[in-house]
Amino acid sequence: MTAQPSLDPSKRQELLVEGMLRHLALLDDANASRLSWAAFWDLRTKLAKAELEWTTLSLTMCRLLFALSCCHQPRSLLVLGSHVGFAAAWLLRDRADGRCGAPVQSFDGVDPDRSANVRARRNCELLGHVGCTRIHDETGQSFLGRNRGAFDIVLIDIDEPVAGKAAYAELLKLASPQLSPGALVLGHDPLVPRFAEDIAAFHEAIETDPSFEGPWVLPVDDCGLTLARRR
Amino acid sequence: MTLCGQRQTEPASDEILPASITRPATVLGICASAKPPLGSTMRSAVRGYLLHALRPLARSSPPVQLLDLRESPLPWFDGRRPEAVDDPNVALAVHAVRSAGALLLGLPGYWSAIGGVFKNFCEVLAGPAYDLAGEPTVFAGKRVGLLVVGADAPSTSAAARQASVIMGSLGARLVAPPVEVLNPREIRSEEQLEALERALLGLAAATLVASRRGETA
Repeated sequence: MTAQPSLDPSKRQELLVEGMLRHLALLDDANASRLSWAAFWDLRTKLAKAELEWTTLSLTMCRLLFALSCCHQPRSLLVLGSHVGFAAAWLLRDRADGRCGAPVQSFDGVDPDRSANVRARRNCELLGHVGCTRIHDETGQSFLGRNRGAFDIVLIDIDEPVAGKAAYAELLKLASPQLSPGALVLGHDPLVPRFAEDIAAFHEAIETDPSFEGPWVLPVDDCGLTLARRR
Repeated sequence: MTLCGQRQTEPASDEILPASITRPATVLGICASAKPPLGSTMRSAVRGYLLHALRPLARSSPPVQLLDLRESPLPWFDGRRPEAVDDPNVALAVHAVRSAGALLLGLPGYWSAIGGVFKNFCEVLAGPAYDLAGEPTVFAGKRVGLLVVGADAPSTSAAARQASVIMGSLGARLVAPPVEVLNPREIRSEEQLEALERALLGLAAATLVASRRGETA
């Protein structure tokens, strides 16, 4: 009889996320100490107190966003299509928890949905991010047209009622001058069939811009996550 | 934000679907072990470790699948191209390999070499090398993770080297160095098991990332 590994499913999902980030050279021995899964679970407990929509991201996707933030240590974060702030919460981590390195210093959430933004502001307050957070009632195009920033992580997750994800490629181009060296660009939903054309255009925009590495599509759930890196 | 329809819980089921003639797999696991013999309750270490690596990927999209060459045995290679062989298991294997985003191959190493099931699988699916004159095989451009479980250390190392060379000659590319399990019977301590788990999931993760990379880069 041969012995079989017997770690629990949660630990295995964590090792899977770690394995993906190691394969992409985003996690190594130098930054591994900043990835604390105990901090992940503590944050999850804290998020349960906020009025977030728990069904919008799978648990593995939450792990992936959290781990990307721990490994990359962004100082500035931009989320286009921030909705009530659930995805952003995993990228922001817990400011009071020192196990995952330095907290994010600046977070811009952008969404034309004013009612969602009201909840996003309330959630950021509940989670202690109010001092570093700006939630903007506008489209990503409008925000990027007037803003001059240097973002370390940009998450694109807009979902317009008719146009869907058609603006992903345009938003990438608009955000491109506002990315710091080595910045990560994340795009949610690359695997959703109804967005296939929009996502193909987004990926082509990344591939044809020599200043980016990628894209990589991480198919961890039905939605998936696209990842690209500014050289 | 798109609703994924997935609850904030761990997967309730980590069942791996069998290889399909109609649906592509993100990652196709291939078990190249014919063990155990019919009627035996003995377990195959190759299959056990391969399934262990695949299960955390059960929620990937599209789902991972398993082509088990014990359940879907191939005929011996007799010099024909795969499309000339009238055998449903050959058709299934060709389709599953061709449509998969990446392959995670588990194979045994015996007597200082790869197991025969694996070699026959490669020959049947790739066809007669002498007639193909550079034609790409069904493996061309495929990203492949290799898991080699040996009867002893020399057999494992030899099989890992051979399998890597064979995959290269078929046009496939390894996503990472092969994971070599030198002798499963000597894995006893918790530390050894955790190291094995990390290696298996690291290989699964690399294969998962590579499964979608080919589409866009």
